[in-house]
Amino acid sequence: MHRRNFLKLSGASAVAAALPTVARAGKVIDLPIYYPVAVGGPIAKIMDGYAAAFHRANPGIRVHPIYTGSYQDTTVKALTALHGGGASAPKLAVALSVDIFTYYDQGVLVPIEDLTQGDHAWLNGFYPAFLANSRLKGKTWSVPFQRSTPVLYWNKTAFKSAGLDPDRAPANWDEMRDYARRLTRAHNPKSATEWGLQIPSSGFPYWLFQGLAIENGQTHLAAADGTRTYFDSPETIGALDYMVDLSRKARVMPAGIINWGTTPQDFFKSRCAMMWTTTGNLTNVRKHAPFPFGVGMLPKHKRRGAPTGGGNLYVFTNTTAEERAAALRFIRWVTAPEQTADWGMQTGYIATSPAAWETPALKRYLAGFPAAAVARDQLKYAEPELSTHENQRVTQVFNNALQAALTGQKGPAEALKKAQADADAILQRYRV
Amino acid sequence: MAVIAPTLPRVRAFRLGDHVVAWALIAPALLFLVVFTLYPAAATLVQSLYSTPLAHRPSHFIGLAHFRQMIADPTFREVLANNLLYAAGSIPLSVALALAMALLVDARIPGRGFARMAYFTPTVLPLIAAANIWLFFYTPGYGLLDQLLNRLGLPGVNWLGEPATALWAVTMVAIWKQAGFFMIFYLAALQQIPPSLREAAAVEGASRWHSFRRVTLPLLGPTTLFVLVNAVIGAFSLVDSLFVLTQGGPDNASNLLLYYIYQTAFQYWDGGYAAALTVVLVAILALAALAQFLFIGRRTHYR
Amino acid sequence: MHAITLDTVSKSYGDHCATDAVSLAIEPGRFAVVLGPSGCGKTTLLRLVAGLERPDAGRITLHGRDVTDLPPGQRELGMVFQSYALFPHLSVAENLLFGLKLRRTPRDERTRRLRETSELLGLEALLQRKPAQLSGGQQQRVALGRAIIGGRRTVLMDEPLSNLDAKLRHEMRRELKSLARAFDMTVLYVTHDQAEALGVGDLVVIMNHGRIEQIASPDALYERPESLFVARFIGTPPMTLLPLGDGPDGPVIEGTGQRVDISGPGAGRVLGLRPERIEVTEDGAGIAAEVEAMEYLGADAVIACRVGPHLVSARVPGRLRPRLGERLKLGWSREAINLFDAASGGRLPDPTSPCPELFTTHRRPSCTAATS
Repeated sequence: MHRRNFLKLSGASAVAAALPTVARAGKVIDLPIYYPVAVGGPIAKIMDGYAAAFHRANPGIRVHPIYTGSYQDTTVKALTALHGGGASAPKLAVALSVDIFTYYDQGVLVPIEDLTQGDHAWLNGFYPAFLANSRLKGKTWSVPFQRSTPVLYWNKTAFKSAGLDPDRAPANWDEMRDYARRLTRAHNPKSATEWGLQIPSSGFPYWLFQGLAIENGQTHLAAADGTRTYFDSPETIGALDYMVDLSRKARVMPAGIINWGTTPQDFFKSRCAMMWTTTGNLTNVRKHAPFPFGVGMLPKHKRRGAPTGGGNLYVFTNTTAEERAAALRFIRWVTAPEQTADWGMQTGYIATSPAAWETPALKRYLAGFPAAAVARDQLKYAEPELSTHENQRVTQVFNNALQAALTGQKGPAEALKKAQADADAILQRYRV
Repeated sequence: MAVIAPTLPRVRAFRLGDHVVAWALIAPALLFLVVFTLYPAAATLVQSLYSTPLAHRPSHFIGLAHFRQMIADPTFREVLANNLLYAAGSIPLSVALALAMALLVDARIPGRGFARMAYFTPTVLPLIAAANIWLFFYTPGYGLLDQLLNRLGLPGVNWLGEPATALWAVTMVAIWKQAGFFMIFYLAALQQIPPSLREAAAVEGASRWHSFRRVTLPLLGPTTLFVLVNAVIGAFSLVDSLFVLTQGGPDNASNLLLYYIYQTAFQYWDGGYAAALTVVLVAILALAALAQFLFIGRRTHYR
Repeated sequence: MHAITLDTVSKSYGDHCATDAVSLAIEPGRFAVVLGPSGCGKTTLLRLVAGLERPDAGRITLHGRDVTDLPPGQRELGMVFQSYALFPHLSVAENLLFGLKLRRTPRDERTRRLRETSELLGLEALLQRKPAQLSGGQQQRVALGRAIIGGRRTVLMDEPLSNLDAKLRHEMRRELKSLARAFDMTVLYVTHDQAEALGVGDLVVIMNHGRIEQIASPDALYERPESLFVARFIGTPPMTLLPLGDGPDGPVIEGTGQRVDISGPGAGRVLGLRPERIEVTEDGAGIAAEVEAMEYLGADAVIACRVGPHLVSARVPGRLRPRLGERLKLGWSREAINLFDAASGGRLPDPTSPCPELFTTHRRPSCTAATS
């Protein structure tokens, strides 16, 4: 108002009049946020759309989404930028929920409770399974954002030609193995697929394996404080025995390491009839599978189970009090039911709060595509993903053990005992 | 008369000026050398003697502890052994292939321009892109290699997924990638050799093979030395394909020293140990280059 | 049996015909020089004999053996390259022994030959040096040594002296010639330098546009060129060539009324005269000419005289010192006359030849022209 009057008074000083606006615009809080792209789809476009929508609702805050590659790249870039300091360092990041120890040990995290100043009841709105990987030393260090869990996809056409009920997923371990046998051409020449099953084991085999471990009764592979692992428990060893036997004894799964990235491709090309992979692939499979497919929970053994996965929102210590308030505002906005529902529908990630599933939009979506609910329904059996101090090093030790057993280099028990010993050696200094 | 000014002071003034000019001239190069080579090298050496700082445990001097840790580290031994195999496989094969391709495209054959371009293409391609192409070659079931095996009635091989083949599969990519690059140097060197030398050898009764071995090959000596030094450096530094193909797996079967350094530095965030590993890598490369200059360089004919 | 024979050998590169049905026979022990302007096919001819090029047609035999389809190494030739083509990574001794080692010559014979050859060429002190440490002349000797050390009877040389300075070239010419004679070698030698060709060869092959123009001894070539091309190409200054026409009283120099004392018609013929065969007459007889340029050389002087539209070169005694612009009369003896057919460029029978019908009215031995 004031400015408009001023302009009316003197058009000639328009340039000078613009100056106060610039100064006022300078008060806009800028929040660079690093984010990875880990699934198919126009993620960058969606993120930019959210930033614009948020800015419209909150003109005083401008969020800058900065694409930083894979999860791994994002953490590398974020930590490097944070240590280097400077204006371009991120104030927030979307990073793996299990990287909590990595960031925590570098001392760059602001606990969410410090942002909310007492009012953090809203955190209870998320599924507890998704919050499990956020809690450490009595505080919450990240907010669930793009979360996933593994599910089983099956090729209904292949099921039918193998004489199986195309609408029913294998319910338990024995059934999955029996189904897989009938779907493997070496055992059943009439099978439409070469292999019955693929559980990918390249890169990060621990994640899918964790599903088996939980089902075999090893609910946690690591203690909540991240200083102890349970790699050589009888339950863990039993789970690995089962997984190794699928390829080496039952011969229903390809031997050696099965590539994570090409497994959906194998599924589309009828090379395998069933695959385990993330629910984040749902949209991808829906688009590319040239046959009707089913989505099911992972089969149960002693119990049902699946790990959670995916990324959370982190806030870094290089923020001012103002910026922290702005960051909280953004986090609450982007995890509100409407945005959460939209994010889930556009990407295939699981909407992180029950409230989001109650939105009309998601309800409509679910009516047309009931498979999308499988991952949500599986959440009540979900357990936190493996996460420890020196997380990457410990999971690498574990991955190596799993790969050694899957490729027949070592027996499961031998491999896992060695992994446990190595993990103990790494984690020793954190046990104080 | 300025011309007959006393000589001595003039010379002295000139020397001082010379020094200033000399330093000014090398200053830009020196600056870059210090900032981008000397300082990082020295900093790495110092860092390798300190523990990795963590938020709750600041860095402190630990002497050679990282190097002791390395001796006891089975992964380090494994990646080192892998790297030596990788070098032993990729260096002779890529150099030999480069020479063979250069000889072929140096000869008067039809489609020579196309062949030259085709051989050079892998060099222009980023290694990540090349690795993605090879990922398709190696894919079990419908990858190019398995399709070929199937045609021949042979069972498929999980090239990247089996410890026995993963390292060699990665080595092949390096050979494919490097050979075209080295070919260019050999081709340039071949074109520098006057044809009359080969003709003189032919008149004296030398067979093609003899002429190649006794005349061409010795004259390619400096190129071979240069290419070998590059191949050794490549064998320890060209690891980008691992990011796409195997991530060092299965169970470190295809892990290489530089990739392990990357893992240690940027996945495990253990900067101190990574610095110590880097010191070892640099030492290996320095030794290799030195050995080549001493042993091959002495027998190499420079024109 | 000839040492080298070429029987209608042709070789072309694309459209360019480098040698066009060339036939040639060289007796053993001859020092044959192939001479011609650049691009005439002389180097191709040499490379065909060496086996470095394969002919498109024709046969090549060496000492009676058909080598057309044999690789260079089996032709038992030595060769000296223009660039010497010494192996830069090998010492002088290794360069010399290269071929002997290949042919598995016994060690003591190798040693003997190396000693003999290096003594012969004065290379004893240089045996351990690399080519880059030698002077041009020394490199030339090594290249020569490599060609002859194996006792090859036929040696090919491709402009071997062109990279040497003038003085050294002169010395080497003499040495080459005596070497060739001493070892009874057949030499095929390519050059574009006519002085070198005439000085070193005992047989000169003139080539032009892929064809042989003339094969002759140097003196025959000089005195009796078989074609206008050879007449123009050989000699410094070259032969004066005067096209003839028909005057009222017989042949005249075309474009002038001046008669020449030659029987038969004038038109269609060219009169060739070597400069040293032209004299300045004292008796007022001869062709009128005006001195246009003079090059004083001490013992003699070369003058260029204008005769109508033509320039006539004459070599006169230096003491005469004609002045520029001076008017003279020029004359020559009957033996000096060369006649060519203007259309074909070929040589016509000599006016002195015993064919009687060519001689009609002339009796005087000195054949001078009369002014009309």
